[in-house]
Amino acid sequence: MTASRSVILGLVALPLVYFTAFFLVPLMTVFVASLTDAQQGGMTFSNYARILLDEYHWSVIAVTFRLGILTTLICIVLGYPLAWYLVRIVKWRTWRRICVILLVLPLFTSNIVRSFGWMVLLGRNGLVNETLQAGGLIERPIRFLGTETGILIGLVYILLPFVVLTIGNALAKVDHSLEQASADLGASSASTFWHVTFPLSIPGVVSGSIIVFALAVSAYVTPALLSGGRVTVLAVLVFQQYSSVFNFHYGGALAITLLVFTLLMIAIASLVSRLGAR
Amino acid sequence: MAGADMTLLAIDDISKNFGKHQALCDISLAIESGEFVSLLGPSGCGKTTLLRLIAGFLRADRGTISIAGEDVTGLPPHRRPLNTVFQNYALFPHLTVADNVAYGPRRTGAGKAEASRRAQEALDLVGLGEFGDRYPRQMSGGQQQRVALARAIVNRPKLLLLDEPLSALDLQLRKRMQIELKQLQEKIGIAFVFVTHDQEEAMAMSDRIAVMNAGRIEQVGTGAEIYRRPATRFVAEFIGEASLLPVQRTGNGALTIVPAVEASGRSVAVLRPEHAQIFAGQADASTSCNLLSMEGHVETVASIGGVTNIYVRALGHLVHARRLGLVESGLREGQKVVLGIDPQNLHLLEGPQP
Amino acid sequence: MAIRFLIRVLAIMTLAYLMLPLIVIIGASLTTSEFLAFPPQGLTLRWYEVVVLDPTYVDSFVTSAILAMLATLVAVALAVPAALAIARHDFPGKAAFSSLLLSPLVLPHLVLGAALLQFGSSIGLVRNFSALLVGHVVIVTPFVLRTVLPLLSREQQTLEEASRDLGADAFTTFFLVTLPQIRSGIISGAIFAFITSFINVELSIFNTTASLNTIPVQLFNYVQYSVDPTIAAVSAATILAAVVAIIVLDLTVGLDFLSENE
Repeated sequence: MTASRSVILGLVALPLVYFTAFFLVPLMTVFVASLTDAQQGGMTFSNYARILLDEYHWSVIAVTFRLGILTTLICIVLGYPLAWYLVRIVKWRTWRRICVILLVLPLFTSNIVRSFGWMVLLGRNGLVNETLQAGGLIERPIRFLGTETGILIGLVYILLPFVVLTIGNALAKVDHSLEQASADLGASSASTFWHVTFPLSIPGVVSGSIIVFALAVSAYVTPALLSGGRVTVLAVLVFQQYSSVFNFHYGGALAITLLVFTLLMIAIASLVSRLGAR
Repeated sequence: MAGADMTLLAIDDISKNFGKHQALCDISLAIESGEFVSLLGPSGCGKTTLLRLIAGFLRADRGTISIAGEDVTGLPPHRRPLNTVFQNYALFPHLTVADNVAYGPRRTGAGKAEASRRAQEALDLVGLGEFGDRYPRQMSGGQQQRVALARAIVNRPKLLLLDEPLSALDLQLRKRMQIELKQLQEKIGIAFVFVTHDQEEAMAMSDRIAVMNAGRIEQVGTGAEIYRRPATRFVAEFIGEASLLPVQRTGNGALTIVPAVEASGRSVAVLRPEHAQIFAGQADASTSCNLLSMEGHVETVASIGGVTNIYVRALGHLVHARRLGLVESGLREGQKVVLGIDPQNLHLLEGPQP
Repeated sequence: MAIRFLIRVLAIMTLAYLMLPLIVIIGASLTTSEFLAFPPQGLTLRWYEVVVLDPTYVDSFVTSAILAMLATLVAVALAVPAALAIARHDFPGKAAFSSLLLSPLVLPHLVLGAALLQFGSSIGLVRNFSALLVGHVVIVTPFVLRTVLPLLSREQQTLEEASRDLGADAFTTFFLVTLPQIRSGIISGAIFAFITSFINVELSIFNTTASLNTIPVQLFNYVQYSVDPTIAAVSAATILAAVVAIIVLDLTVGLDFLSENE
């Protein structure tokens, strides 16, 4: 028993100390600062009051979460068919391998680089506008940069691979004999999909959504680049406070607000999925 | 015409290849209403492939399958009037037991109330009426097996396919389920096609057994038929235990056993161990008339519970004999004995055997 | 069948959507014009030459590479013992311990960066290489932990017990039995960790200075003010680096994780 205890201690000690010192304590520092008055010190909720009683902040929160939710929904709508295609339709292994590499490649590329690509594509004279104009679909260039649509396009693009990979993983795990049992019991293929395959892939959809949502609401680079300063999201506000205003108290409250809202949405999503699985 | 009406499942000249591997070759089989037929064979013999072809999960390269006179060869699984009990049960993990069983009726047009009433009936039939609210993962292997069975019979199919449904259960439970399954089959009167590699299981339950090997059906018959009169060497060796002895006929038509060194190209006689008698000397053997006798010596004596297996080396053959009870007269290894065989008990496979 | 066709078309279009910006960047980096153009006007490698001859780009590239490498090494050193403890032993607070180490995966990096800046400024750990390293280790450790944990299965424990039974001590067993089993997990975790560190902006941005810069942060600062083919060349270079990393990953551990096991 004592030998085992010292072994455990030996394995756990370093990671525990490291994460306490450079993860837990810093987060606690932010939390404490957010509850401390900037001028007098002492505990106060004024930093939060400043955020939550202010219409501007609510509009920023609304934009942030609207973008998060829309990004998640669009990612699922686009990602599910692609995942299905890769797992169920592609028979040629080499092609699937190439597809997976294409899918993972964006994940291995910096957000900057990828957003930069969209800056080029979505500009006034970018490829998208030129193609639309040449096709006669629009007369004047659409403004994408500096709008929520532009940010949305960029966020969906950046986060889509996560959804495809998690849903694909879940689909690959669905036991074929369950689908055969369903067909055997008289269900058509559409009916089998809705009653068996889709419910069994929901855990993948939920975990993919959680990742996408968490990353979308906390994304800083993509909104910063594609908004051109015209659309503000929560992460941008946090960064301003820490990098140029240096108000750690108010900035801390913003950071905690972002954190709490994110964790709240994740909790709701996993609760819904757990109820759904019952 | 009356005979044709009785045929429920007709399989005609079915062949199936997987790439270069020939999984099934010219399979024909007819199964009657209410019949319990086992597909028996070693793994890789094509029995599961045949079952999946009947169910519609695979398409045959050649041949037709019809059920109750209707050609179903081209029909997808959900249009075929049969159901399957899967080897791993394939219970839907996201549905309760009751919803699992109600799945079939729901998909085939029954209303919610109607479906759950029928599900309850089916669950009662397999003795799980109380367990509808549970999830499959909360049940034991034997219970899951019954749920799979209830789910498969709830649609009242004409034909039930069972893919080694008992193989995951331990020996005790398997024996009990064999009896229950047979009783259930007689009670509901559905024809069963039962895939197994366990000959005892097939013998215990089936009206008829189709013995399969290397993609072909070697023999179809009742358990007694295939045991007493195996059609091929494979069946003789696969079903029960047997010593295969090369034989030739003498001028007067009587059989004699050929020594092992001259065996090739001869007809073969199938000797079941219970038909090989062992005598201490030639004189004892001669007392019973018409016995074929061979001198030899005991190689191994092994008692297993109620029976004793004795292996005797005679004319270069290793002959397996069996006696009930522990061997009293003290047969020892190495002892000289005489084997006596009643020719009546030999089943002859005519023609040169490999 | 019509649905199948529809899914096929939709999937190919989605894949094209994923590739488009990357192709645009690579294309734009080859243009002969002084401004960004896609399709490129003529083909030249001169923007790459400009980048290679610019010490600020080279310096930040080197900084990023060293940072990512060190962060990955430290992460492996922290995550492997942690994974062993979680998979092989029972101890009070095990669940809390593992979620502590995994939570940086879902926590906004920007919040963590801000927290480290605030905390670091109270102990003098700001705007230097150590400050960068400390943060990067926190965000990349979970990647290694997450890929190593599933490989420490029950069957594997039997192998370890067999090794101990045959007379090997704990260390020998670890190096001869355990390590080979989790090696692929360590490799893929380390590659993910390296990449995550190498492309990070949200965390680094708080601790970089004019003289100590990582390549993504420098790009980020640059892109916000001017856009020219040099940026495209730097970006294209990182895309090519990513292609190399993925091919290495595919060859060492295999990326075929969407295949069904029949």
